[in-house]
Amino acid sequence: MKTYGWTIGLCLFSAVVIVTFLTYSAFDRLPQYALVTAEGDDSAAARMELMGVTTVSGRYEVLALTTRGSVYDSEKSAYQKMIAEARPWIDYMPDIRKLQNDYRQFMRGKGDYRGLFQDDEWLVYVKTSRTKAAEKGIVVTFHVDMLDKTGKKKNRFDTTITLPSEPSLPYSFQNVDVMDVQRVGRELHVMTMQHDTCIVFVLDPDSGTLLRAHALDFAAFGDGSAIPVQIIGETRRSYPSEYVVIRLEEWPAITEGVTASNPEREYLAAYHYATGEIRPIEGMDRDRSEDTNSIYQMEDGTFSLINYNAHQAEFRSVRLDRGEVQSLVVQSQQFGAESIRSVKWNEGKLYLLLQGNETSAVILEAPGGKLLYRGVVKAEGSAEEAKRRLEKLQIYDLEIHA
Amino acid sequence: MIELIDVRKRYRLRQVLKGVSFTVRKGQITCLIGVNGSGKSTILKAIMRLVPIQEGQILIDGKGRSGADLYEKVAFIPDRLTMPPGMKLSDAIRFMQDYHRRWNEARSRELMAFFRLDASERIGNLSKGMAAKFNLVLGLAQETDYVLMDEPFAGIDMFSREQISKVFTSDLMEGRGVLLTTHEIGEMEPLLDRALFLRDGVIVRDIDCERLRDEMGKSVIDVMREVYAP
Amino acid sequence: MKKITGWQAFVRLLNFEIRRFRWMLVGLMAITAVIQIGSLVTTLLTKLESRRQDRLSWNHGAQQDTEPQWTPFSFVDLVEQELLMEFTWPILIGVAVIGIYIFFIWYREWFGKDTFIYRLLMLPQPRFHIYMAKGCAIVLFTFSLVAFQIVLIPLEQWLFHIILPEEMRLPSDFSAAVRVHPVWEMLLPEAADQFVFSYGVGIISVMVAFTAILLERSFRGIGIVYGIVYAAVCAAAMLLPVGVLEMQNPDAWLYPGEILAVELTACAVVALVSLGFGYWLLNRKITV
Repeated sequence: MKTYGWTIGLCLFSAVVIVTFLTYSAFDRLPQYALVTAEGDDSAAARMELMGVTTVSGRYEVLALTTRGSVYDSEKSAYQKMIAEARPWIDYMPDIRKLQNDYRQFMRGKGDYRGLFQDDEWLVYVKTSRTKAAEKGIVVTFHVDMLDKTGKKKNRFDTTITLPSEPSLPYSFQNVDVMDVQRVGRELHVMTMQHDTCIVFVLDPDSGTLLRAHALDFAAFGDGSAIPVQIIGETRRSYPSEYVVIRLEEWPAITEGVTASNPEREYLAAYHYATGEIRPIEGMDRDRSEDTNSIYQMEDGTFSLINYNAHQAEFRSVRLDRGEVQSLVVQSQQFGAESIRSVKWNEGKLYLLLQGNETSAVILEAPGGKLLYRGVVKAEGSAEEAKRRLEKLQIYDLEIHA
Repeated sequence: MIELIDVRKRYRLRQVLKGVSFTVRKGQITCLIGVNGSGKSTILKAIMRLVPIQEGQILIDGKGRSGADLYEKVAFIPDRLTMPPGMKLSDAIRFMQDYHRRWNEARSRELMAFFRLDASERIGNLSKGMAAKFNLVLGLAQETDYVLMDEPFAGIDMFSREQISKVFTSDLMEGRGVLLTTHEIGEMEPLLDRALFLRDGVIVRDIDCERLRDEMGKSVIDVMREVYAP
Repeated sequence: MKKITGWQAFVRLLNFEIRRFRWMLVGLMAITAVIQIGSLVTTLLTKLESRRQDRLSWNHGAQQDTEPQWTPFSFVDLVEQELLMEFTWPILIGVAVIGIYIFFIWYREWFGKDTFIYRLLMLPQPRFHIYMAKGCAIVLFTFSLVAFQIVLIPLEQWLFHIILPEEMRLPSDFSAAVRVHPVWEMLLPEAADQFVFSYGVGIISVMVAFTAILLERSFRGIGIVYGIVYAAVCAAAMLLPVGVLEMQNPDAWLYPGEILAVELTACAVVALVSLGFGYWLLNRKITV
């Protein structure tokens, strides 16, 4: 036995120490925080996550905080870090996550979610590729993957068109990007951007051919020089929508060789896929001052705008089919807070992250304004410990999970 | 019986063994004779699976060689001691005892006493003669059916050689098949039962030594001159 | 005639390998302890002395009006700001020695005139026990050094606490200390799955190295080329899945879980092929 002393000793020493270390690490928890309900129903905040950072023993620790407690990045398992968060944006896109679960094979390699469309019958993915044409121009190919959900039949076709190139731009800048895909009857309408032109391509999925294409004409906006710069589609990218919203910018002319740093005016246009009609959206201008953040979104045919700064958040929405703007203005003070840190809108609710003596989160019906939830960030421990821990915590954003 | 059947071995581009066939029987002392570099050591190592062969078969008592069986049946005493220099002789003996079922502890003590070896000495401090003797202890204390020896007398002084020769006539070799290589043919000839002459990668003569002496009046050295004369 | 089971023979071989390296292991642990504790104690005593000097010169009419204040600091602060290199060097030495020994554990059997490999290859047990004993020995040495480092950290924290007076120190815990040092964080992953994965890859690397060594020992001159090519192919097989398949790319054909499965499969294949190939080389091709 004496001669085996080293082997036995080293085995025991290593095993005991390493197992103890891993066990200790598994149970050693960083200080816990949670969002504690002050008003309303817990379940309203079930998908809300507050992102923040705290210091523990002089080290910065990133964490996410919910009504169920806090989760630190450093406490996550390797699997969570590598896999669950390899494509973290999926966590915030419930429709994409569901598609990946329900149609796993179809969804392989389909990473540009702007090209997705689904309804009860169809699941479609459109992407483009381009090559140089023999003469001046670019050859654009639409690659369409379709799944008939009812019969589980798959179809795939490519259709090609030659477009004139923009002479002032190098070839590498002349992309034709898919911005939105919608269905009208048995046609697929693909909204694309080529440099500063919006072109809608209409495809027939039954024959796999291009039926027609037209560039959107924004001559009626401003002095006719407004160019499209942003396409705002349905937030849940794959969902059907009758409309798409285009934000246009009008830039002043170049004087003495100097380009302006900001556009002169902005416009919003709603494009109706079925009729091809382009209608201006009034009363939804964003606040372009430096201290204000603006977010445009569209959900279920409702186009919304949030303008918020440190003290006030203004929410406006308009039903694109009815055209009536509703608005809601909230101040940080009405919830006893000093400032508004972040605002999100999701599925008809407005989420606000507020800071003051306490960090809190509020959920309101929007545009109605009814308070659905108010929660306050608390820390575990005795009153003194909790106070110290809260002083070290900084919450900087909130997210809505899938 | 150890049987080699058409064994071929190549070192890189050089064909060293070109179809060697012979047998080693229990109860006989067989000497493998050849000039330097003819492949004698290679044959012994090939039997012990210390070098691979490209073609041919090597059978021990009619069966192919599998690891455990081979090393329980055949002991190999190479031309060097093959134990770490920092090891004591007693540790080396314990090492052999730990792994070889057929290690005979009493016999190892007898041999140590016979050769007057000090078990507390370190391998690296042994003289050439003492190392050769200890090498024999490690090989002969195993109760194997066959013993292979590679140059047991190489570089050894006369008195050590005499001591080692006594082992060959002792009951330690009784009933065992011995295959050895040596250049000291003169000294070993009286003890040999068979001689195998290796030339150009094959066995060219397989001689019964007693018949050679009695019937033909020749010695093994005479045959060597015939076989290897330039 | 006593019976020696395969398991007994393996344990004896493992024990043999452990005993051959034991003093080197003790030496590495001693170097680690001496350098880390030595530098910690020296730094703390220097700071104490510095503070004493400041107080002395203030007491004897230095220009400040108020008593000099020292900003308290934690063990974590000290390691991060002043002792990173001193705590890293012994670890690097240990890694280098183990790295060299992965090769030396084989090549030493061929060195010198008394080539021990004869004896090992002629043991009446499966030759693969030699491979496994050497591999397990390397793994055990590595884990022993890791365990020793784990034990040193709280000891160093305790020394910090007993040397510095309370007003000069701030608390810090074990996990924070591990995370502050980038090499500790790498060697001591706190998530069990990361620990298994990191050291699993390390163990597979040892298997690959062993098989490459056996290739060289079996084919000698050209064997070096075979060994290098083999190691390169295995490294590529293990690195390519996560490198090429693009875990973060939304357009990637495979989902992240599938990429991980491919990676784990690649690692398992490399491990099994290395073991199988090593087994075959030891039994059929090895040359003394």
